[in-house]
Amino acid sequence: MLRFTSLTVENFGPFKGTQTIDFTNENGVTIIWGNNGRGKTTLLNIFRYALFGRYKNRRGTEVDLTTLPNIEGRTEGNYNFKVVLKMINDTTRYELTRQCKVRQGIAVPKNNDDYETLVFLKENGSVLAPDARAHVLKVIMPDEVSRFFLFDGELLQEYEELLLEGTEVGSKIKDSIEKILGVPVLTNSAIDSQAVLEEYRKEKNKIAQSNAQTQKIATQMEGLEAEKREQNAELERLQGDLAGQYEERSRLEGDLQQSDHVRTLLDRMDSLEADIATKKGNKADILAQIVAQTKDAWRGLVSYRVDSILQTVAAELTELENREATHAIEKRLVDDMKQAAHAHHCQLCDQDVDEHHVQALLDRIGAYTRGVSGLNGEEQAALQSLRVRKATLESMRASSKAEILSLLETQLDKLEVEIDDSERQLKAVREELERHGDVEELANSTKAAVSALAQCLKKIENLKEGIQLTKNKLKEIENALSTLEAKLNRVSTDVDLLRAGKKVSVCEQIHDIFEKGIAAYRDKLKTDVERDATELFVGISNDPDYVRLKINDNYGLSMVHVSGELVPLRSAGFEHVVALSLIGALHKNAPLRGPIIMDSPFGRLDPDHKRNITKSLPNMSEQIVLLAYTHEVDEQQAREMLADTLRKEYRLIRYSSFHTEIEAQ
Amino acid sequence: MTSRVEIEELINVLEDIRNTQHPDVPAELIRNIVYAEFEKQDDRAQGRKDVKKLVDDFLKTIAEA
Repeated sequence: MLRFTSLTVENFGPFKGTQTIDFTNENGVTIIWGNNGRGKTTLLNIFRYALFGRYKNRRGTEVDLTTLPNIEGRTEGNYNFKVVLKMINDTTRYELTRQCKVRQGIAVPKNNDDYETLVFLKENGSVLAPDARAHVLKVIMPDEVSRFFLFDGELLQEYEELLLEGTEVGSKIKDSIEKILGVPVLTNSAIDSQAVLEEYRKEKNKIAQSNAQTQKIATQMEGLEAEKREQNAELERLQGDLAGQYEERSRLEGDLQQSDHVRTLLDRMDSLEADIATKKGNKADILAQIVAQTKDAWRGLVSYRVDSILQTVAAELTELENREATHAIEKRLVDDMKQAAHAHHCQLCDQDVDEHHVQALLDRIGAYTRGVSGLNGEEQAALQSLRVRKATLESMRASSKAEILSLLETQLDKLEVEIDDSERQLKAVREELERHGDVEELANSTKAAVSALAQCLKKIENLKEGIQLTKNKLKEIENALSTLEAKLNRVSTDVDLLRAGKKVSVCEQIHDIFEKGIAAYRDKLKTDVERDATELFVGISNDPDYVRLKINDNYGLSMVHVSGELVPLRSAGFEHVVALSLIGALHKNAPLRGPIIMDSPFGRLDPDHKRNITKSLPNMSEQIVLLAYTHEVDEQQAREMLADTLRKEYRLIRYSSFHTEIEAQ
Repeated sequence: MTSRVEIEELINVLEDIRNTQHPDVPAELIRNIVYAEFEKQDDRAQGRKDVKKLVDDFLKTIAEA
């Protein structure tokens, strides 16, 4: 297994001058204590820089080399910096040096180009050539699995993604897990044994084509093999494109996440603009209604006078109409009496009228004619005039429009306040957006990014569909080839062909062992990782009812309650515990073994869990380096818990804001 | 290099399959292929060449038999 034996930093970050941390060659834990800002995370990043040549900040962005030399060193004119990591892998000693020197002729470096980076790797004292150096570093500590060796406690929550299907982060962690567990050794063996098998199949086909007995079948097979190669090339292209699109999706999602606040502001701006436009439309409608209503507003002003005149006109009209009505009734009665006197027969009672009654009727007709007279011409004209006046006056009376107007005005007032509020908010949003750049440009770039992401997702769907169709096609070809192969084996009698067939058969068996081995090894790993993670988890957890962990196909671990139920939502603290249990279990089962360097892993844990984790540290890996802030764990308790397994303690001591010294305890 | 002992677990899984399903394939050949792939994880082309040579060498023994 790989073990770090010492780390020397020179003028690097807060570490002024040359300072060394010696790690013991024995199994156990080294604790480096340091308060915030003293350089714990920088130390973790320095390990990464030494091994992989990259120095990233917390957001994952690579930092400029000019920012890495010690600030006090820089003021003294020293812009060079260096790290030397000494390691031992089994029995081989390595010394890795990564040094950044300002190029000759440059007084003050302004960018990365002003630096020359020198890298040396000594193996048992001899400097390795660059190719050999790269090979050794990739074998002893591949970058893809470094997350299990060098990690920041804050990032442990990422492991929860393993419980979800189809997430980018989860997929990357799963690939890293398989890498550390050695699965690629098997997948590569399967791929390469398949390639060898194809070559032997070609050879066999060539022999079969030269034989008249088998030529026809061999030609058919050759055609199918060509088609298979085409489909495989297409599959590879599609898978490559898909991987590219996944990267693009990840990049676009990252960009959108970074501009999340701007997008929220832009959405808010759009929403406010739409809201203001709607409200202004409503305001225009209400104003139009008010205008329509106020056209008749004068009626309200004259309504009292109109009512008064109308009363007089109505009284005069009623009198004349009553007289006219009375006259009409009496005239009809006189007419009936005249008819009865003339015909000596009453139509109303259907009886004959004698002379005596005729005379009486004539007397009464005379009396009525003298007593009642109808309206004269002047009165008729007055009646007509009064009717017209009454109708006119009634039309002039104001209806109850005041209420409607009042309601409309209330609505208008409310809308105007709302519009003013929204416009004020819009102004504030625009001002905030302008601090991020030109609003129009921001809107355009955000829309472009959202659209690009939508297109990318569409492409991913299309590529997945294409991959499935190509796989189906390949399966058809494989089936056809198997049928022809069986036929060829049945009819062939040629010695060379039989020998070639035997070679193909052996290659098929070799390939089959690796293909089946992949699934079998994955199953075994899951069983072993689940078991070992459970053992660590039970030792760390302070809840006795959480009895075990259950692994899924992505190596995600769920907590299982004593009742057998999976715990659906776990706290951030338990997420830490589960993630640490997984990392410990991976180290136990990985062909690649090495040190674990963890920065502030106790962040959200209660004292019980901190104590339990401290106690479990020696079980996670043979070499543990713990970077902890003072009181992150109780120092005395940690010493008691770790006892003999605590090998070394260092403290990061502040000399000034820009100068930290690493002091052995 | 990383100790070969550390990939024994992986080899044991393959050995079970070989032993029960393909006993004519020598255990040593499978073991050597795994070692070749393990040591050439960073150089896939060389890894494939090494595997091809291992299989070729074994098949020569069949042809000669």
